[in-house]
Amino acid sequence: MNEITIDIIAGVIALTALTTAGGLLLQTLSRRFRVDGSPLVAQIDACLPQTQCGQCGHPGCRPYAEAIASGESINKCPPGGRDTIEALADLLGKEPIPLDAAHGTTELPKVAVIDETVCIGCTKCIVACPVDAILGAAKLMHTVIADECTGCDLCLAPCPVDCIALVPRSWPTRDIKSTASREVIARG
Amino acid sequence: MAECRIIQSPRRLAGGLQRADGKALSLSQPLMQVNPPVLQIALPDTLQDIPPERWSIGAQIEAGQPLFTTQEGITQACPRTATVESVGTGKTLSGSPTPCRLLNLTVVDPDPPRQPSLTPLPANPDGRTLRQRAADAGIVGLGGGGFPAHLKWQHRLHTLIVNGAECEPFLTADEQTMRLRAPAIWDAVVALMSALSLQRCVLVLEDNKPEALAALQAAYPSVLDAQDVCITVIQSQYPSGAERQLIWLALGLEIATTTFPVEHGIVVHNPVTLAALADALHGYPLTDRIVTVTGPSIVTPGTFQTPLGTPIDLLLSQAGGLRPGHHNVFHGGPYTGWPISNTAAGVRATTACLYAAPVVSQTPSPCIRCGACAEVCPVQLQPQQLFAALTHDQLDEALHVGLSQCLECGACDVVCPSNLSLTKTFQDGIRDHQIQQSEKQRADRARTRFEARNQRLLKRSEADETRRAVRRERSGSALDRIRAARAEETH
Repeated sequence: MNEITIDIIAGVIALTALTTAGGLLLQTLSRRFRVDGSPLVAQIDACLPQTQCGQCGHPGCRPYAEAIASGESINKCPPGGRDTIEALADLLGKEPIPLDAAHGTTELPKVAVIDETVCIGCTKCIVACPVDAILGAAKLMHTVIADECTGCDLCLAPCPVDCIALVPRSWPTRDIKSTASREVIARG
Repeated sequence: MAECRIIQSPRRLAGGLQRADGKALSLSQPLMQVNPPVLQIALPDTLQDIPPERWSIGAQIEAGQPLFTTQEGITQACPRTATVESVGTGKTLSGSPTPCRLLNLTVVDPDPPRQPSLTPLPANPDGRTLRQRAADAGIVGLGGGGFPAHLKWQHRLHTLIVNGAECEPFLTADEQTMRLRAPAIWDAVVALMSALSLQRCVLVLEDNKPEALAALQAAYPSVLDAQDVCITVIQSQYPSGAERQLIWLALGLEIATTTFPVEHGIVVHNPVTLAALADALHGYPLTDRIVTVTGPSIVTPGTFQTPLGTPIDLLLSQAGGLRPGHHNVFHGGPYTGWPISNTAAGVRATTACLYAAPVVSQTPSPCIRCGACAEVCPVQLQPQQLFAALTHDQLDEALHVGLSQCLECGACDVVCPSNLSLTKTFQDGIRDHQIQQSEKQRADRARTRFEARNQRLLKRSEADETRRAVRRERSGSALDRIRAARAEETH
């Protein structure tokens, strides 16, 4: 064997080794850093108010985000209102459109309150709550963890004694956007 | 006699305002004591669910006895010996829509507590004793912040700055305190320096307070000779008394708005707070505070030693009342004050000044982009850009151009030729931003809880499925056995 043949063989072996190593590395990396689902869905989900109320026709915000990612319209979220539609329009490069009234109207955020003197402890609301914000046990009084309640109203319908009401939140909330003029105070 | 070093600060604020200070208005009268027949104490937000039965109607509470303790550990003492008239809900000073729990007291003995209700502390108390005492005596920031003093001392500190700048026009409570109570202020400085083992103390004054300077110098204790203590005189300019601005003027250090001065070892106290702390060391809790009642609408402006809870109306009438006509009464000074809507409410620990001015109808006109606001902004913002962004609902843009750096000092309002309420707009913007942040956190929590619940439901349904499969198999094999047995029988 002359020197040139040896050189060619050495080159081929070296290149094969390099490409194999690179391929293996890429494969391990792609397995290790695999992202489940589309990252767009997470971005859309971040724009939604996480009320989990289902007014859009989907069982929660994440499923609606998945539907938007596959082409559903962006104006089906009443709790998010104008802010959410604008944020989604920005994200997806679409034009903001008015809220679809078929899904409801934007209201001030609320919180559920259980009338504890009426509650019979049936646990039906606990099962219905999408964010586990109701505490209680069978035949024992239930109560709402106000801090965790999203005001989705899903607990109202299952209650057999109608002891749950939605009331305005006691902590400061953002106003529904309006163009009311700002107050001017003269200081002399 | 010991001499205190006096340093002229070489630095001055960029921007800011230099206007007629109007301080002589309330300093022409000596300090007067107010003796109200009734007191109205508003309970702090965190104590709103205290049952009314806590205080029995008609019961007598001695002056200096504790009324309640807040979550931060601050104990509010009863300002005067009084009987409980009622415990109810009512309107707050600012007239905010959420009602406030109020404690109404009828004063029995109008004199301030003559006997210390806490045991007087020995000289040079340690840090822990001092913190406990400040909390028990209800010492909060009396400059207007109302932040509990003992919480500031939990950090590792090296420098004490006494904020005697009092840069806002018309305010004189700090100046009057420094003139009349200079020895008490130095006592508190001595106690703080030894208890917190501080390395230096800088007392900062504006150059329009020569009498306060003379009083402080005369009262300077020789104990402090061995320590690094000085008085720094700065140029009179609004808002040099803002905490970060003051630190820069006094020490040449810039503190980022994302951190607090205490995190850098610097604690800033108002001289009124220090005087109250000196009283606390002698066993007297915070029951009174000095209030400046001033402004063009007040008949005889002055400074008043006022029990906490004194109705604002009564305090105004002590100052000769309001001139005829329509007036706005502000809680705080002419620039940073907010309008008081309920003048029947009581004086708070943070009420440093009541400022009254005639109602002037000013119609705002559009921004002409003159840039006057940018020239006076002490933190070099472009208020006209912030305003444009906020009035067009672009909060993100406003944050990008520095909304969170705004001091809400009101200097831009004063110079605006279009009479725009810039500061009010910025305050609303900052509030909206805070609400947005908290709603985002809330949404993140809701998302986590929703996903956790879905996981749990999924796991449960899978478990149910496997159990069912096992049962099916078992019952299936049982059936087979029965069939086999029957088949055998028939054979």
